[in-house]
Amino acid sequence: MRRGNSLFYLFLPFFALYLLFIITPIFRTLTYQSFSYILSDKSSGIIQSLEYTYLLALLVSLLSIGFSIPYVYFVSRARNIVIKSLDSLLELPIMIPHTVVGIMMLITFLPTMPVGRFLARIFPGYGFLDTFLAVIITLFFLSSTYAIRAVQISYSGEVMKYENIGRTLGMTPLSSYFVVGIPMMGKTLLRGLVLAWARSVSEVGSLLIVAYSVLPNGIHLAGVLIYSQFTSGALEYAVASSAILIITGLITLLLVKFLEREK
Amino acid sequence: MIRIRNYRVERGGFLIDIPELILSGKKNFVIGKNGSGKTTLLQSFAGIIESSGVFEVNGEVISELPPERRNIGYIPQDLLLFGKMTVENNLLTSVRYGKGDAEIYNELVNKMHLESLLDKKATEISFGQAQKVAIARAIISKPKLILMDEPFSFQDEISRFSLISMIDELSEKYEFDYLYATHNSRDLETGFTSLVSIDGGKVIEVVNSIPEIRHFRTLSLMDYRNLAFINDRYYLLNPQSLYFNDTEGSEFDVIGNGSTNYVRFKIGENYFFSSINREPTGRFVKIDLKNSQEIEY
Repeated sequence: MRRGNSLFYLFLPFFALYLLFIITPIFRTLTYQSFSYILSDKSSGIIQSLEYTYLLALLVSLLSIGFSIPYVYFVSRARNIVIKSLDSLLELPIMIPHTVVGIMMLITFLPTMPVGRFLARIFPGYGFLDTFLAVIITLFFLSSTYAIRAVQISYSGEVMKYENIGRTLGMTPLSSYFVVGIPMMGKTLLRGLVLAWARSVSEVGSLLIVAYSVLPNGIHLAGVLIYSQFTSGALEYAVASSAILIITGLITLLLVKFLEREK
Repeated sequence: MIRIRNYRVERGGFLIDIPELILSGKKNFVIGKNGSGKTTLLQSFAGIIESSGVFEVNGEVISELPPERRNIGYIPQDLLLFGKMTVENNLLTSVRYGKGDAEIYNELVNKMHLESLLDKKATEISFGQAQKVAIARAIISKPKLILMDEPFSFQDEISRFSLISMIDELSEKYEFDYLYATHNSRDLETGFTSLVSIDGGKVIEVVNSIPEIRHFRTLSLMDYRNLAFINDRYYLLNPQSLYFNDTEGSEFDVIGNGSTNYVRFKIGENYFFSSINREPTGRFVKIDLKNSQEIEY
């Protein structure tokens, strides 16, 4: 098919150039220091930081997926123009600068603010600044969009049609959703999970504001830790930590891709 | 019997409006071009899209019921077998979750030779096999009516005729009516009790046999030949409508496959094809409107 397709060969450099553009900084980060130097960076606390970061990101992405399932069902079946318009607000968190998101979270959820005051009344001992709750809420605000949109594209475009057939065969909305719909969305849910997870891992700006010192022993969440290393002048440490983050992140993404293929 | 009253729905700016439609036969066809509103009509009837209006099957109003209580089978063009399930589980869906009949399941598996497919995933069978499974799945749910939205359109003619004939036979045995949407007039050659012609979201006409058709839009779906649009009027032509001469009219050429021949000529921007029963004499063809039957648009 490709033989004689000049357009294919004309566009090949665009593909190569783009790939080169993405790979070069990653390669540069991974080769900036020797591998033994990168491994020695473990003493900076990056491994512990990554453990916390990845786990918190996983928790947030699971929450995002959990919310995306009922959200997408409702929005996909709603015919009301108001609901459709409100759904477009979902993209708003992507647009807002992340430091602004941090400030927004503070003035909403601090115990001295109206919503925070309300929560403190329900949950005695409620706190926000530098808590895991602050990390989860903030990352959920920023990452859930990715999970929801990934699920929504698949659901409203395809899955809904199958559910409708299930209903003509006598299934209730509930049974057609759980017996026909959800099993069809396995790959999509995994994709949404990965997107939300990756977005959460990469977050810095808002966490600098709401959760700078959330972890014990002076370590920080990965993005914040690397930022701190960089601003304190330790470029070598910052690059080594970045390399570890990239390698572990890459392994995780490859593992998920493998699982996706297995399914 | 199928009855539709005050049906109205708008989809993406396209309005379908059917004030009344009654189909009293068992074997009904809906014919219309792509985009004429056939799919939307069928989906509304099945209850899987919202619409206004009253739908009745055998005197029972079903429009207020959810799809699972309408007792209507629906087979879409892409069949929509559940790919994560085996063929067996696809077939048994209505038995497990609805009013499906396990006895009909057993009968149809034998009759349609589906035994070897039962353990396979729905994605692992051929499209031809999937069509049979989709038919069986719908029939097992014991519907009063099956709506079919061109489910066999990707098949060759002989396979399509076989499948429609099979449905014909099964509809007698399992006592369901059907409404089959198509844009291919050849499908009608298996016979029908009612034919609805639909275009632009409106019913053009309902007939019980091909000779009853009076509208250009229906006839043009049946056969593009022997139709002409002249001076804002529509005509059905025949060999006597053509007058060949050397002085006036349109230039023409003779086309055909040897057994049936036509003359092809152009009036304004449009090409027309009219059958001939003898070799034309002369360079031009002129239409004798007195020998042509004017038809409605």
